[in-house]
Amino acid sequence: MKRFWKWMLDHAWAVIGIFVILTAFMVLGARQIRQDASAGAMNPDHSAIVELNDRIDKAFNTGRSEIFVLHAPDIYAPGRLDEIRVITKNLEAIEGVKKVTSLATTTMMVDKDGVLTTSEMLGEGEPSPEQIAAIRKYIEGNYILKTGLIVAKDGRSTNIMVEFDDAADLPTIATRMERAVSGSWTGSYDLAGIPTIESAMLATIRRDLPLLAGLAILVIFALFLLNFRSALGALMPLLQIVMATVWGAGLFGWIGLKFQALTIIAPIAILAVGSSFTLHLLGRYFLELSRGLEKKRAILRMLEETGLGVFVSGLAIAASMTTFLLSDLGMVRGLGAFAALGVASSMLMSLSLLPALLAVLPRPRPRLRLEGDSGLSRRLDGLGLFVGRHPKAILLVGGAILLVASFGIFRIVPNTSLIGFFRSDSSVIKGMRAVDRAFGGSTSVKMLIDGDLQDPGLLKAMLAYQEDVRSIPGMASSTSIASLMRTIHEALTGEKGLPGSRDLVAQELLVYQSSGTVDDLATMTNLDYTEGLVTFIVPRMSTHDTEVLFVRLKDLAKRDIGDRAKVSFAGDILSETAIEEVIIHDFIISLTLALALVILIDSLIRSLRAALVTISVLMFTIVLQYGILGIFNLPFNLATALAGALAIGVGDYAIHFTVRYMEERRGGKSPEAAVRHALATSGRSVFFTALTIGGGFAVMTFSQFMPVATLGSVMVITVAIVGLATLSLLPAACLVFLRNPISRMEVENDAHVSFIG
Amino acid sequence: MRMSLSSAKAAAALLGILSIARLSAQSLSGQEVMDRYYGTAKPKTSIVTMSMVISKNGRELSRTLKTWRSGDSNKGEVEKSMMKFLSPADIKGSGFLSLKKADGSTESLLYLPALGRVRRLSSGASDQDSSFFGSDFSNRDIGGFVESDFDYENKGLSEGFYRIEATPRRDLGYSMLVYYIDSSDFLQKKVEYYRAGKLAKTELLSYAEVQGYRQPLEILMSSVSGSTTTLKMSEYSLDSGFPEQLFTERYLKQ
Repeated sequence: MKRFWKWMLDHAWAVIGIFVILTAFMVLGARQIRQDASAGAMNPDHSAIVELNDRIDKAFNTGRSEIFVLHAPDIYAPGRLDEIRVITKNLEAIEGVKKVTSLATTTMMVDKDGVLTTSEMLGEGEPSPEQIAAIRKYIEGNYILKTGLIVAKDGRSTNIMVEFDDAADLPTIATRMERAVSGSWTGSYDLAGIPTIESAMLATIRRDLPLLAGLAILVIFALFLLNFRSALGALMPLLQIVMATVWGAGLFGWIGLKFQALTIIAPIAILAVGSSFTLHLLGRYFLELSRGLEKKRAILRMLEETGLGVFVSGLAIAASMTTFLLSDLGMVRGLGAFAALGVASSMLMSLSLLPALLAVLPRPRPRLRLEGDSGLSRRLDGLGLFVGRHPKAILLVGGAILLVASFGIFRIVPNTSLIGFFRSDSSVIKGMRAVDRAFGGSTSVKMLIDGDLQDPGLLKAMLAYQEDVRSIPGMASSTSIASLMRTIHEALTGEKGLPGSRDLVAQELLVYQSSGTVDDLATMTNLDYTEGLVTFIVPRMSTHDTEVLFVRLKDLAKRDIGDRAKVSFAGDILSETAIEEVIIHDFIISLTLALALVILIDSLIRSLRAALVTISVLMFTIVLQYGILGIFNLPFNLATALAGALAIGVGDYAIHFTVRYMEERRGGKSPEAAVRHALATSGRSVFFTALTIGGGFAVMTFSQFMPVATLGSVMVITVAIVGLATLSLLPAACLVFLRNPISRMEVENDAHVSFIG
Repeated sequence: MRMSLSSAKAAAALLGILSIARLSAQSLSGQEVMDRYYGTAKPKTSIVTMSMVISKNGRELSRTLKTWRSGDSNKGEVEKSMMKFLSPADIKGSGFLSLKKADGSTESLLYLPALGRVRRLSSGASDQDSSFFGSDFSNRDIGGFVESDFDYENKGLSEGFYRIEATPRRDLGYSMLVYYIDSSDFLQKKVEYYRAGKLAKTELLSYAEVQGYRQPLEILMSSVSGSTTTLKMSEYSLDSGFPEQLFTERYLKQ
C-alpha cells in the first residue's frame, strides 16, 4: 500500500488528470437527473391502503384533481354565479381536463306541478334574481348540498373541482387552470389540490438545491479558512468535496434515479461528511509539517496515520447509507443511493486526489499552532487529564443522561402527513387551511363498500353511518349512492327518506340516470351496483389524528353496517399513515443494519472491542437524538427517521479518536497518557470537524421542505452530541473498556506495522 | 426499367379514371352528401327489440327494451317513440314516451311501476343532452338530429368514406360532429362527437337489410372517459303499423 501511495505521489499530475476526466463524465451524468415532485412518488411500493386507493381511483374516476375555492362576501350576489359559469366553461376547454364539478355543472332535480325538471344549476347567460333565489333555496334545502358540499354554509365560498388526465403536463395544466380562474373571478381564491402540492414541492426542490448547496459550500469554506488560516488550504479540500458531490450526482444520474424533495439531504451530507475526511487528513498533514517533516514525507505520514480512520469511517458511512436502499419508499432509496455514492467518492478522493493535490502544490507555511501550545490544545489537554482521573464518573453521568433521553423516546409522535411537509406560513398550507375552514376539509377518506347497493336495508345503514360520521367533531359532508338516493326520492315523492323497495331503488336510479351523464353515478357506484364508494370530506391532519379517526370510522362501520356489506378504507390521508408504517420499519432496519455494518467493518479492520467502544458513543448519540425529538415534540417524519443512520456518518470522528488512541498505545504510552495525547491532537480535528459538519447541516434549516429543515436542526444537535461524547465519554470508555486494544492488523503483520504498512 | 407504350397508356387511363372518380367525389358538397344520407328510405313505423350493454372498468350493465316509433321530424312530422323496459326484473314495465316536434321541442313522459305514477319530464335543452338511461348515448343521439341543425363541409373522400364536418347552427350539446359516410350506400358508419373542440365520444354503426330497408344492427358508442355502450337491434317489424293511441299516457302505464 505504501508503495502504491509513493507511486501515486510520483505521478500526482496523472492522478489529478484522471480525476478531472472522470469528473467531466460525472457532470454529464448529473445533467441526466430528472426531478420528481409527484405526490404519488411519496407512497410506499407495497401498501394495501395505497393499492386500494389506486384501485378506487381507477374504478370510480377519482384521479388527480385540483380544487379551487372561490371566496366572495356573497356567492349569490349578482354576477358571481355568472363568473362561476364562465370559469367552468373555460376550465372544461383546457386540453387534458377530464371533468369540472362546480355550481355550474351541479344537477338540480325539481318536481313542480307534476313536471320533473332536471337541469344543470347554471344554464346559459347570467341568471336572473329569481333564478338565483331558486338556486339558493335548492342548495339550502337539498339533503346533500345543504351540508356545504359545493357552497359553504355561510354562502361566502364555493368550490370548483377539476379532474385531469394523469398524462397531462402538470406545470402547463396548473398554469392554464389558474389563469382560467384568475381571469374571470373578481374575488379571492385558494387552491388545495394535488397540482398545488406538487408545484410547491417542485418549487421547493428548485429553490432548495442551489440555495442549500451554495450556503453549505460557503459555510464549509469559512470554517476551513478558520481552521487552516489559508485560502489555498481551504480551497483545496473544498474543491475535493465539491467534486465528490458531483460524482455522487453523476453516478445518481447515470443510474437513472430521480431527484426528489428528500434527495436534497444527500449533497449536503456528502459535503459535510467529505469535509470531515479532509479535515482529519489535512490536520495530520499540517501537524507533520509543523513537526518539520518535508512535504512528501508529511503526505505519506498523513496517509499512514489518518488514512485508516478515513477508510474505516468512509466505508462505515457509505455502508450505513446503503441501508436506505432497503426502504419501501423510493424517496429514501434515492437519498441512500446518492449519499452512499457521494460518500464513497469522497473517501476515494480523500485518499488519492487530495494527496496528489498536496504533492503538486507548494509546501504551505505553517500559520497555526497545532500541537501543545495552542489555547485549544491546552484546554483539550486539561480535558484529557480530567477524563483520565474520572473515567467512571463520566460514564455514570453519560448513563444518567441516557436514561432521561430514553423516556423522551416514548413521547415521540410520528407524523408523515402532507401538512407536515410545508411551513405553516407557506401558500400551500394557507390554501389548505382556507379550504378546511370553508368546507370542513380539503381532502377525503374513501370507504369502499362491497355489497348489494340496491338493497334498501344497506342504503339505510349507509345513510345512518354517514350521519354518525358527520357527528364526529371536525367531520364535514359526505356523498354516496345512499345520500343520492335520499335526494332523488325526496325530489320524486316529496318523502324525506329512502325508497322502500328494491324495485323502487332501481327505477328511481333509472330516472336519475336519464337526467345526467353516463359518469354521474360513476363516482359512487359501479355499473352493476355491487361496489360503492362513500366519500367523506375531511381536513388535513397529522397522521396520529388520522389513525384516531380511522379507528372511529371502522368502529362506527361495524356498528351501523355490520355484516350487510364488506367495507375497506382508503384516501390520501390514510396513505400518509402507510408512509408512517414504512418509515418506522425502515428506521429499525436501517439503524440496526448500519450499526451492525459499522461493528463488522471496524472489527474486521481493527478489533471487535475497539468497534464496540466506538459504536457505544454513536448509540448514545442516537438515543439522545430521538429522546430530544420526544422531549421537544419534534416530529418523527420521513427525514428525522433517517437521523440515526446519518449520525453514524457524522460520528466518524469517534472512529478517528479510537484510531489515534490505539496508535498512541502502540507507541508505548499508558492508557491515561494515550487518551490525553489523543485528545490534545485528535481533539482539535474533532472540534473543527464538528463545527464544519454542524455548519453544513445547519443550512438545511433554511429548507422550505419541513422534514429537511427539522432534520437540519436535529443534525446540528447530533453533531454537537457526538462531538461532546467523543471528547468525554469515548476517552472514558477507552480507559475502562479498551485499556489494551489489540489491532487485527498488528496481529496479522507486525507489532509496529500500521494499517498501510 | 423501361415501360412499354401500352403499359404507359394503361397507367394513364387508370390515372384518368381515378382522377375523375376523385373529382366526382370531391364535387359533392357536404350538404349534398348529407342530403343523400337523410334521403335514404326509412320505414314509416318500426317496432324493434333493443339490448343495451353498458361497460366500464370491466363491469357490465344489461337492459332490454322494446321500442315503437313513427313519424319523421325531418319531414315536418311529429316523431313519436315509446320504450318499454323488458329486463332486468327490477325495472321491467318502466316506460318512456317521447313526442318530438319538427321545431325540435320534445314532450317526454316517464312511467315507474314501483311508484305507480307517470312523471312528465321537462323539455329543456339539457334534458336532450342527458344520458339515455345511463348509457353513453344522449337522448338527442338516440332521437337523431334534424338535417337543418347543421352546416356541413366535405373534408374529402378517404378509403370509401366521405368525411363530413357538421357545425351546429344552434346549441345541440356538441361543438362539432364528424360523419364518416359510406360512399357506396350513403349511410353513416362512424360519427365523432366533439364538445368544446375536444373529442367526447365515437359511434360505430353496422347495418343489415331488413324488409327492404338498411337498418342499424349494432351501434357501439365509446366515450373518451372509458365507458362503452353497445346497442343490438333485433326482432325488427317495419311498416307493420300500430294504433296511434299507443303513444298515450294510458298505454304507457300498461
